[in-house]
Amino acid sequence: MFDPAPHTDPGPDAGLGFADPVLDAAACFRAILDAMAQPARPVALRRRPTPPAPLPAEAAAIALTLMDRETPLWLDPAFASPAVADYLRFQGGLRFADRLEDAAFAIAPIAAAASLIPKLAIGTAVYPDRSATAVLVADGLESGAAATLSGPGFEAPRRFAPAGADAAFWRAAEANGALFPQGVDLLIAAPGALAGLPRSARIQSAVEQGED
Amino acid sequence: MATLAKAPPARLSELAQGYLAGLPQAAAPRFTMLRKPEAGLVMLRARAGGSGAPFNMGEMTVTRCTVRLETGVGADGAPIHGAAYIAGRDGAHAALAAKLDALLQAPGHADALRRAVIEPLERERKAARAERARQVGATKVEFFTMVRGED
Repeated sequence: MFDPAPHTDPGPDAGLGFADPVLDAAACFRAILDAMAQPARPVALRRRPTPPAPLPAEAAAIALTLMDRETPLWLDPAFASPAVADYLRFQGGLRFADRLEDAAFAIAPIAAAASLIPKLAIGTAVYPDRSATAVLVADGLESGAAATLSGPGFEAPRRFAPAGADAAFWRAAEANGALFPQGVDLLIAAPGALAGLPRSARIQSAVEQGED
Repeated sequence: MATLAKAPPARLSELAQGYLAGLPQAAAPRFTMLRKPEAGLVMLRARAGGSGAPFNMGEMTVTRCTVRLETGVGADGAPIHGAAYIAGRDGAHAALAAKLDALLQAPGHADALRRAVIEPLERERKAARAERARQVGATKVEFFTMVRGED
């Protein structure tokens, strides 16, 4: 069911949504599902929309696939602009969160993750699903500080080094994992690909001690 | 907008084609689909009588479409968007209505399009309503002539 009133104006420099809204969103959903089921493993994201700058296409694809007016989004100032807000409202019917702790989703650069993750909703002991999901935008999935991860979805420990990740990022991810079953789920969006880092991933050794 | 949404799709298409065919090649409008025709449901709210509380009567299928005109801007220089919400699930009707909605906002097209498409459709809708009212009116029963007990 769509809600016609609040998002009828596409705004002055509107981007375009998915070329085929139904099939493209389904393909993107499948990629997110794979990324979360096999954490820290890059999954290709081929069908992308064309949002207005400065919102990256992969973050827009995740937003149009997962979010709607029932999931308030907190958009980091690095990606926020009136055109982006119009785009997300018009194409996805999104609603924005005024406060970070009210957000069901957050989109931010990975550099801001260490300060962002501790402020997001982690759910409650009874309802751990009332937690937020953070979409972290990185320039790549290979050239950052590495950590070795294991846990559900890992056949063997896997090394993961998203570009822009640093020691502070891995400390925040480790602290987030320690909250399990509460905590935040992370999706890392890089050009053309994404990787999942759910709260269940255990960080064995941060910063370069790969045990390949 | 109401005229475009309520027009019979075949007649709307015929009039629109007639208008577009009459334009010189260089003036042919081009559009970008910002949101392709998509069908969804809208809840209809109703009241029973003037003092009745509002209730949800049921859901109705609606198709919507939004386009941007690529061959012209509004009087204020802003891009022109056309939008259509039509009853039912005829995507082609929604797309055409959205395109005409955009052209009706374009200074170069508005007046000619109003004469070529909107006015004929309005006339036909009025005529159809009058015809329907006439047919219904013919079956009206004048109750006050049925008086019992006289003679």
